[in-house]
Amino acid sequence: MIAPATKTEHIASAIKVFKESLVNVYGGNLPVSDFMDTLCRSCGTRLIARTHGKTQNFLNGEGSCPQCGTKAYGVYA
Amino acid sequence: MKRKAMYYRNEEDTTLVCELCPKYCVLTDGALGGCRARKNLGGILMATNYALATGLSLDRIEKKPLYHYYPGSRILSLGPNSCNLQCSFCQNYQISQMHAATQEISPEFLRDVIAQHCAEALQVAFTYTEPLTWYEYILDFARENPEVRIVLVTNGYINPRPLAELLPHVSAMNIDLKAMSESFYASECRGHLEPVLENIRACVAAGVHLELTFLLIPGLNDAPSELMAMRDFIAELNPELPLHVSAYHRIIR
Repeated sequence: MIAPATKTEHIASAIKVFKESLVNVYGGNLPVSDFMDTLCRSCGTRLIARTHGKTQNFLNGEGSCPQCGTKAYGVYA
Repeated sequence: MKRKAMYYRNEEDTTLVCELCPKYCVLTDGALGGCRARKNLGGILMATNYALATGLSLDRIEKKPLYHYYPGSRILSLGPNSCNLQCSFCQNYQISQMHAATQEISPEFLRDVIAQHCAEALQVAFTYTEPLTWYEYILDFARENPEVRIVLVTNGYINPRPLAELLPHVSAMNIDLKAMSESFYASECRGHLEPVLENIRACVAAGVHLELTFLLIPGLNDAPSELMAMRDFIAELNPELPLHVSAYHRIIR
């Protein structure tokens, strides 16, 4: 199969379509660290900050937003 | 290590049909399945890749990728030298589609390695290639070690019965959704779309922590109508299901 490599712009425009209905959409396998953070679905607070080498988790113990208390999807404790 | 395979039926003489995945390979005596993991030895199906691992390493769980499951934790990761799909764009075909060096890691040894390297969180990921072709090994390990969290990074291409038997032992999964068109699965992966969609639904219903990965290949699986169909399929299951849109890198075979 011959196909060109995926560019960051391809990922960005697909993410835009997915985000019309989905909350947690990420870009992967990219040279940049864009599209990697988790934001609160209610208030937009950054809940988890990610780079290629590091993860910073700002969630409260059971996985809720430190600002508004909305529970994030997933398993944290 | 030798282990008789599960999920097959005998036909006439020594011919048998593997029923682990929707490929239903028909195997005469001595024949190897399309996954290169299961072989008919005198009318008995053997899991010839049992406990044979192509790689063993300690990764951040984000690398699986799992973003909503114990973020920042370390997870021991390993996979077999086999896969039941044959994707034309496979990003690691050297270990999934070709013979590669393996080392034997018995379930007991695996338990020791996890305890040694992941003491803060007993968890293991079966990944890199196709863990569902390591079915008996993973099931044996999971049954003997209920305290270890089992993660599968998989193409989701398995029959409903074996999936139902395995799921109660699985804590988290990342399933590849490679496209939303049957023609893509048929021509580029030598498989079918519907079993994958059905298994994603089954995993959601079973309450397993699930994330999805979509490897975007420009011009092949990124038509706007296809992206919208994928979006709507996921949104109907749960709009919070994480979706990883991953970049394709050209491969030279």
